[in-house]
Amino acid sequence: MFKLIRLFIIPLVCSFLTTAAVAQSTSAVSGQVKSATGQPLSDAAVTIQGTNAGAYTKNDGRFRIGSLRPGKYTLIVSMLGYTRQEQSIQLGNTELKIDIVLAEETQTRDGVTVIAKGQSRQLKESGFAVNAIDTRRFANSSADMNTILNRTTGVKVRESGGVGSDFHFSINGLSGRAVRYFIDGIPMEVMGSSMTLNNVPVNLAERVEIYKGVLPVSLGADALGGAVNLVTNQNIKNYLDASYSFGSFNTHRAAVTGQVTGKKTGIVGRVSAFLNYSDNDYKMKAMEIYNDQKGEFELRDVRRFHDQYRSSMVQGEIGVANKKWADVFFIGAGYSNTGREIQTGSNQDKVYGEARQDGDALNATLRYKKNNLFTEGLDFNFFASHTRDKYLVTDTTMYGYFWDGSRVELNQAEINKIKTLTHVIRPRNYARANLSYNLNAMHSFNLNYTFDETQNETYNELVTDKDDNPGKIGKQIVGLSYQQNLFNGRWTNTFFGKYYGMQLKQDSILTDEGKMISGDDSKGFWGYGVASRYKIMPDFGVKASFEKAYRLPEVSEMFGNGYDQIANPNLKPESSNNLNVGAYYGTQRGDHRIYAEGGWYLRNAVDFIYAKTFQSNSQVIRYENTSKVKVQGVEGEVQYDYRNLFHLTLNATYQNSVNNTSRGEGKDETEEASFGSKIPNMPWLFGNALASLGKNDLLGKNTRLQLNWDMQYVHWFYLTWSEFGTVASNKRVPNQYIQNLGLTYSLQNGKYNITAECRNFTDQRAYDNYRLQKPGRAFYVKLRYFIH
Amino acid sequence: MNTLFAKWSRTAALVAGMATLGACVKYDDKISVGPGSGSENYAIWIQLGSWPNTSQYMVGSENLQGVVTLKNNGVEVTGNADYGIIARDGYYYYPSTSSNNRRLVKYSFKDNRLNTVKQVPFTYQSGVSTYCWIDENTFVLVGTDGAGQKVLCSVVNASDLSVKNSILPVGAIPAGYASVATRSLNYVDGKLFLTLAYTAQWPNPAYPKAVVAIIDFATQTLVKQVEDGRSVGAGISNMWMEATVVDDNSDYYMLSYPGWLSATMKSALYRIRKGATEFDASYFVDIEKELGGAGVALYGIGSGKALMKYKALPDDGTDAEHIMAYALVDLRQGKIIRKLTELPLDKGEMLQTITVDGNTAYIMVNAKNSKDYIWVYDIEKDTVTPGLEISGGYDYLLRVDKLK
Repeated sequence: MFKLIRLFIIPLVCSFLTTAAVAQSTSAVSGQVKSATGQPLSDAAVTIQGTNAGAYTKNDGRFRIGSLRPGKYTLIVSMLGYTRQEQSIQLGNTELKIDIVLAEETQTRDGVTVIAKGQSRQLKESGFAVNAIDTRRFANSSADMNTILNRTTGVKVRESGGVGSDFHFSINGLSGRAVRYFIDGIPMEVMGSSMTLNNVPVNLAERVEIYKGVLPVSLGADALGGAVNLVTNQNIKNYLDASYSFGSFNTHRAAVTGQVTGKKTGIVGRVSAFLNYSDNDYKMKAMEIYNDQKGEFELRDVRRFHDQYRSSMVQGEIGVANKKWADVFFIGAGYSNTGREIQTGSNQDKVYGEARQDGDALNATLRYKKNNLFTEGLDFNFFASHTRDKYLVTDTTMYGYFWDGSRVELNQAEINKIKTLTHVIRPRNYARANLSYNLNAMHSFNLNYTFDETQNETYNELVTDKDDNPGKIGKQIVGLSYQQNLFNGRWTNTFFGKYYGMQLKQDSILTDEGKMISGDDSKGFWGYGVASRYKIMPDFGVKASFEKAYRLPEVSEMFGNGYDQIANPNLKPESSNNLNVGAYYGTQRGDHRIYAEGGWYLRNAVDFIYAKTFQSNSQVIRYENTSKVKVQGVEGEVQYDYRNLFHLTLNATYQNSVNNTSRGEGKDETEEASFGSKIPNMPWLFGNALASLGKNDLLGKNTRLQLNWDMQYVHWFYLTWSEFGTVASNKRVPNQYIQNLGLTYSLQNGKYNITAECRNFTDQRAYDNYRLQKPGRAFYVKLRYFIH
Repeated sequence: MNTLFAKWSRTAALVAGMATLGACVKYDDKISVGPGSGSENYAIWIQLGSWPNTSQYMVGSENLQGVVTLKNNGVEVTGNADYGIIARDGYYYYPSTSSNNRRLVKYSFKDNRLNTVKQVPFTYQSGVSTYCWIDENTFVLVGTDGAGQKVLCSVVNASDLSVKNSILPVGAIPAGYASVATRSLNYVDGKLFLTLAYTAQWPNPAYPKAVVAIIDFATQTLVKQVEDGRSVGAGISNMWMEATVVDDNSDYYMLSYPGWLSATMKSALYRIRKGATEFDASYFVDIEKELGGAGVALYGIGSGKALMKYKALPDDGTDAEHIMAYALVDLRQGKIIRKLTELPLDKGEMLQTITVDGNTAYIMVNAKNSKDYIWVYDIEKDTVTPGLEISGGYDYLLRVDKLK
């Protein structure tokens, strides 16, 4: 209780005392700080020369400085990455309103980097634990989004193969369904299940935000471990970014994103599209292949032969901006398509030669935004979409394949016991409404409502032509946050509460007694949290955040499928208490710029949901709340820039994930042997180093030549429980150092760019997962055209 | 050159600030293990961890006395083998029962190492449920095809793992049922005794009869298929547990365990006399009436006796509660001699918890609130005493095998 008082009451009292003081002032100055492109800038320092008065701008760029006597002053506005601005003002007895535009430090191609860095930096200096990655830095790289994000703190992406392969995205030790993905705050699945971080080209987004454990209410989702939000270019300027890359394993990637505004009509058209293709026929080293003549298995290097992947997406929007009735009004539609051959199962001993997965999705969207709705400071944001997503898994051959491409006839299908043409169809309706209200410079509120309804139809075309018993889940998530900016913005607190409501429906569900009944259930859960940041100095701050987070059960987890998965109405959502504590520091001394951040985190997750065999009957499974995991870790990153000549990033993450399940299943009264032991097969120490060296006008005017190097390091980790088994028998994945090199040549201030890359140039054997080899050394060339 | 380049770049990386992070270790895809004395006479299989982070371990023991733990002891075998395995004379034969990696592997277990002796591709069947030995060098694996329409048979030479495959002739799937499931296999006087169940889609009940197909091994022809309508679920998959016994008189005893195959039928004990091809009409033991719960496993201990594992408490379906108990059965008389009340209640149904060594039967019990032991049952004296303590607290004790 006292903790609650300390946490909530004291800041509230402080804020109202401050408000009272403001009320006694005789004059004030307020306004908004924007960039040259019209974007509001938050965390810009606004000070009155010769006084102690000052404020930091809020998220919408607004500021207010009160308690000033009438008179002449000089207003100083400064922010990293922007030219400092001084302006004379005359204060009378009424409040002066003034808008300020800050110019970016440079307007060259590298200036774009600086702008984006400014926005990322603002986010990093919020109370939330967030990685904000300026993806424009990597726009000339042929890498996909996963590759870029895997280089940041606390994130580990574990891929099972090459381009388009399955992957596990882990944020601070929690992965799988615990992590949600968004584009501009909208769930990525709205674009279709083919939209994943391993095929989205890096050019598509301007910035990526990785929220760790604690989410703002505006991302209305049941994300247990965190969220990834891709932020696209929201400027109203016309631009075109088109690129094409090709390279090893017959890999091709093309991406286009652009915007055009009709000068007379003001109608804005936007399009984003990409295409990925790869044969993924990389070499598998030391594979076991049976030699009939010798009668034994021998090790050979072979090429993957059934791993072709293709994906494409086009998304268009048309609408208007800056109208009286709408700041933004867009309608849009999109189509995405994927196809991939399936080469291996859960490990490389399981080889497939004909199984494949194909899918496509259509979506229609509506986006509306109006600031200062009804009253000043009340902003309304709305998004709605309908998606029809479907895919087909084909497993119809009765042959088994080996790594040399040979095959034998089987008495079952390749993957499953019987031949299957499994259709999965998921129509989805999604809507999000967000209201934010700035009461004044110190107090603001945000109310977010998300409606997300998905129907799940699954059937084997070789048995039936439809799913007679589709399940439907509706999620309604309401979030309310209150943000206070105290002491002229030095101390920011965000308090929030979330309500997770879910409605599950299925005509016919199978109980554990083998009875068929109708399934209709509604449940609700409350989550809450706080994020706080205190700026000890303008460039040095500390922050902490906490959330009681949930991941709601899927309909199939709760209700099964009516034939081989039985219902478990007692299933609880996965939940976790997530805590982050961190600090940051950034400074600029002449041509040297340095930024450092670090933190400690705790994830105490319970009730993980997994499928289990029911009643020793291998035909039937039931989802159960099975285990608890506790993760603690520290992470840190340092960035250094010398002018725009040299950049260096170093980061490292250490995490300790332990089994927190003290008792075995059932009512065992003895403590489980692995209680408190480190979870096996999980990297626990990893880091990255990135360096770039570039020079403008080296090979001609308005050109730039840049060399990029990066290395990912993963410290060895045990595949099994480290304390058990003889020391010598404990298998472990050794240290991995994967290094990449790239050389970019840009002309006409970045309008034309060509990049040559060599990935894994030391040709190390790379594993994210045991016995699932990743590609070795590979070469790529990327051509990019960018006008803005 | 390649290596040199790698070393150079790695050194550069270390200079860049990543240097403090340990040494590189040679990576080997195979199991690597440490030295030992080779004195194991028994192997114990244990599951460690909480779902889904579970691993199967093997640990050797010279005798089944004292204390054993997995702390810095034993070897993790998940991915190479699982406890659905055949053990004989110090070797293990693994037809990819759960891993489904299309290999048949012969292992030896020594010094806490599971060493590959021989391995061959094995693609004919991936759903092996049962096996029996024909002679010291020949065993038979039986399962069904993926659709459960055919009964597949592989006759294996235990030395070189050469395999001869065939389809076993069994009765057609009765109308209204979807597939056939093979359960247990015995070799009796030149014939294969194969228990079957004809199943429907769960929760619909299976064909309501206990079925034994009697097949001439040499000609692989169906001699006769016998059925009885008083129970269902004849035998059990002996890759994981046993439910049939051929005694010293070559009489065949079979425990039926309906489980999920029927919500109403009872567990029962049947007999087929030596040379007969019919159930012994005078022999039918209603196990649930005798013991108060269904029998789930049956292990012969010689002299016409057996140890039966049965459900002493109601089953909640999770296989996670301590509800299993053991009883001594006189097979010939069709009587329960006594319940082994000295033992605490055990946990887990499909586990190979009994192994017999001469006049001793070892019973591995996962206790709810006391120490876990491999109990020593003296067959002659009919006494039970605690043997090897399995220390540490493990969720499932999977299997105990006599190696030599």
